Amino acid sequence: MINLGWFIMFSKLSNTVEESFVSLLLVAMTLLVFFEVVARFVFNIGFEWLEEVTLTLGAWFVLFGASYGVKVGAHIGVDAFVQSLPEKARKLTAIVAVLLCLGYCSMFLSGSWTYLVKMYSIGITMEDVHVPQILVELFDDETLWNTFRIDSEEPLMPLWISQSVLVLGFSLLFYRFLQLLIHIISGKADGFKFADEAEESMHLVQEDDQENASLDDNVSQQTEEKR
Amino acid sequence: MTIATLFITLLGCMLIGMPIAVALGFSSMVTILFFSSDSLASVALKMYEATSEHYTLLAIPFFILSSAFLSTGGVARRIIDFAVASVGHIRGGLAMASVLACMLFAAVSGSSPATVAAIGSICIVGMVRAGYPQSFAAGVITNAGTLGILIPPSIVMLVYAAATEVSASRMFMAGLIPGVMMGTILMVAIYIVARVKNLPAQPFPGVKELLRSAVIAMGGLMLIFIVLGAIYGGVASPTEAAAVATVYAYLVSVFGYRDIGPLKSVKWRKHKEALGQAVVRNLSLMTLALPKSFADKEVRKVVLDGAKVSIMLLFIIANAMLFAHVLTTERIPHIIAETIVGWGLPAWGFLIIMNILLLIAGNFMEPSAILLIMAPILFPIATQLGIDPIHLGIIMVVNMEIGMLTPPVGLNLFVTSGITGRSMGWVIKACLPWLGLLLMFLVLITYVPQISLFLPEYIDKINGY
Repeated sequence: MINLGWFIMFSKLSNTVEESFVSLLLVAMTLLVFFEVVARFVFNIGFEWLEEVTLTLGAWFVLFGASYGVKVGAHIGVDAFVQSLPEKARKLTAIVAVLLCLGYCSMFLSGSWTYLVKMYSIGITMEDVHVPQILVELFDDETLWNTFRIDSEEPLMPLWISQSVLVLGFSLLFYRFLQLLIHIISGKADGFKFADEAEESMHLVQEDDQENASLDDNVSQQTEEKR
Repeated sequence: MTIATLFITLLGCMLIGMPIAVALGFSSMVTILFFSSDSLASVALKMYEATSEHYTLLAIPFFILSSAFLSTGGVARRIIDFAVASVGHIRGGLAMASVLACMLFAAVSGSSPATVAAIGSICIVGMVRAGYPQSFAAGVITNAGTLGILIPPSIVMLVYAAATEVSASRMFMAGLIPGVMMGTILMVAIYIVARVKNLPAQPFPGVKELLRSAVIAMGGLMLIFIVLGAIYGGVASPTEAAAVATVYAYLVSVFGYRDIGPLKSVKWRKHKEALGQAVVRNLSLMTLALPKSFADKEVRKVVLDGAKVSIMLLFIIANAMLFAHVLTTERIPHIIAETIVGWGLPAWGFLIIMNILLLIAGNFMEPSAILLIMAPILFPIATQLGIDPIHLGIIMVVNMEIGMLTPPVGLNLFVTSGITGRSMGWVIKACLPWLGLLLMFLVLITYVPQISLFLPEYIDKINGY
């Protein structure tokens, strides 16, 4: 029982962390671009590194968020055909589909790994983004280069760090698809949950019920006046 | 052989219900593995580049977030009040006001189903109470709601710009006249029907009420002016305009309208409160609310909702870029284009075929997904036939509008059916006459390119290019 409690707490915690991280990335991107505009128009100054940071945040947002999207069913797909199948066939197609998704992740994972290893061994850096001075001073010059591939004379951020989201993102995506596969086999899930824009818009309808009444009164009153 | 592998894998993957993004990426990956010498590592790099090298694409999450802030029932109600006050007194005025409200709300929210839900849930009931037939009311709203993707700022246009590397600013310029035109066509049609059927008009509420509702609605509507003004004036890129719009939308919804967040239902001025006291109270409350809103449940939910939709779209786009990369390296659009030109097909013939193809696709898939798959294929063919890329984009967007009204994936139909509690069949029947209007509009847009191209060319002339 204790184990189960820990597990629930962990999954709650990881959920909060995931959601906060995704939201934080989105808000950070928005504010960075906003401040760039303000700095340019009001103070007439520009920052070279801003665009590169924003774009990197964008990549992290999409690649990290993709797995979160699978978890909450935010992705879209065509389910007209699958829905028309009998239950057994539907389960089988769902399993095949998820297996192909796992194949997709594995291909990207192996490609990303090879690529990142190469980036690490060469030590290519980003163009304008520096590693914060405080972090640089924590290590001596040799460790900096040998472990992190950071040049102490010009401490630009190494690409293997900024692009590590490739491996992170596709690992998480693999994990989520694997989870989905287990759920489908055990009968907990029917298939992919796809986002339905029409259904999501419906919350706007319920919110309006009260206001509806006021407009109705207004309109019927006016119509009666006219008569 | 390459073409066949790519398309059969893609169709197969989508048919068995894989997410569209993964289906696009997987089919591209398989094609690359079998028919090209590219390594997996280079494909991974392509994926990273697709997500990190397109500054214009960032406008998509920003616009989604800003519309998430302003797509609340409160904003819709304020816009409707303003619309009813301004055109309600004409015969059939309530229906016209609904169209106007749809156009305005669509511009702010950029989403068609959200427009139908927010405006329709208030206006359909209102119209029925005022003596309109319910099918008339439902038909008007369901159609007017599709204007959401045509009137800029529009997310579907940004997706087209991303897929074809056409300037998003110019797309936004091109969409304005067709959008306003379609709205006007709908209103004129309503006026004619109202005359024939003798539908009611509302009394004119007076200039004072009109101004009052205009000022209140302006809080949300300013967003359109900020975005379009900045882009048309050439001051800011769509991405920058979108970021400013998002911050503005946050300020308006949390501090101005107070529909959500820590200041929810706090009044600007209490009954009999002195002006000075109200100013001090509001200022202190708002200073406190700024840090509080980051922890606020509702605000966080809006951001998270925006994030979900953005991730879904951007992940499809990243994979679609991989798909487009395979298409171009295998010269697939080029081969198709040469075949079509070889048939001696004229531009207008190609446009007919394209429209039919898109209308069929629109029955099964979401607008953005269709654009991402079809645009890289159709674009090179159209360029070779001398069709303007911007014009092509507007044609595709109008096609997507119609796709929202045709079963089985007509999103607007589902929403209207949900609001009215009627069957899909009933909603489709109610929409049919107006759908005919939209189809005629599509023909007009397709064969009169000036409607789309006038504004971008005019703005170019002003700026002296």
